[in-house]
Amino acid sequence: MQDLDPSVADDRDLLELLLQPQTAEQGFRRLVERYQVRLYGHIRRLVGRHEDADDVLQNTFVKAYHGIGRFRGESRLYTWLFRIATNEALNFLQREQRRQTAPFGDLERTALSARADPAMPCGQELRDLLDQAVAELPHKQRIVFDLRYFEEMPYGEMSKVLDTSEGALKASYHHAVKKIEEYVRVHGENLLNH
Amino acid sequence: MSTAKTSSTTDQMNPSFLDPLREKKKLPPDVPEGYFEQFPDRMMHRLLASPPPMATAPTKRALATALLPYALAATMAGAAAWFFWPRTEPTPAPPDPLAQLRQMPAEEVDAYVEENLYDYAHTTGSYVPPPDTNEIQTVGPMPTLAELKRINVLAELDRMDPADLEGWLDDNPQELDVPLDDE
Repeated sequence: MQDLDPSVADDRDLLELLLQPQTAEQGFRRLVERYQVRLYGHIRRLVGRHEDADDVLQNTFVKAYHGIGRFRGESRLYTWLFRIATNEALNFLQREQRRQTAPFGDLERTALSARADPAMPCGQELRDLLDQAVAELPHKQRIVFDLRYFEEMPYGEMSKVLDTSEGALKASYHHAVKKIEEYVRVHGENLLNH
Repeated sequence: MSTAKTSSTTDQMNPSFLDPLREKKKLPPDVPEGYFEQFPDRMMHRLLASPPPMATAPTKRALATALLPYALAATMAGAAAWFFWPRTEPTPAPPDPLAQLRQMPAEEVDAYVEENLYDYAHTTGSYVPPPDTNEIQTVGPMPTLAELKRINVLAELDRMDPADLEGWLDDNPQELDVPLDDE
């Protein structure tokens, strides 16, 4: 798969391609190839369903392509892309919530169906439980948890993505971990009793 | 992110009970086969189907240029309407009827009142119109019957020929008691 941690120099080359009309399409293809896996993983963990993640990912890249002229290079390109992706995912979740559907139901369904898969590694039940615990987090807290835990994004970068102070992000992540721990403690007992 | 410092911080922030989730860091679950291989082509197809980004600015400029004459015409019409719109004169304040008289010396006021009694009465509000009725106004005490007779007699005497008057007085000696005005 593609390089998951592109250097700043690579980003600079990408930007040069994107900003020239004659090479913009070539640059766009490279941008997609370079960041699709990371962005997809981030979006998928937030929206749950693959189909929804696919839609949000496409919208993210289209917006990035149309807005590349406004990228001022004050942050890294992947930070800027994560910001777009996060906003798109958040908008999607808010729309879904307005439709009064369970926003993270698919994630739970995915987790439950995975239990029946005999090829799943040991500890799968605990992983399912953690998935459900993460799915129970409020939208923004879940985004913070995702960026920090799964993406291992530094708080400085997260601050640029979410436009929030590092202190607030640390507190939010701390609360998220505590909530997951509590969820696992309560529901894990039921799991062990079964 | 791959530095020792970052890893150390990450480990501190990630308790061990979250370890089962670490697998998800490597690859998202249940992605359709070949999804990431096909996705760039799908994106390119979608991008070509949508208007190019650089076309947005010229489109806006062209739209603004097309609308500019209408905007100017509307502005000019508004300005002309504002300029030529007939304006109603402000209603003058009612004149103070006594202002002129107050400023006059007392002697001039007297002369004015004498010359313009009617106007003065109206100006000062002292004019009282006559009652709008058919009642006969009493100007004095009603004459008695004897007085009416005397008036009638005197009027008859006035009309009489002097030659006839002496004969009439001879016949009506009681009428001589009537007091005459010229007496």
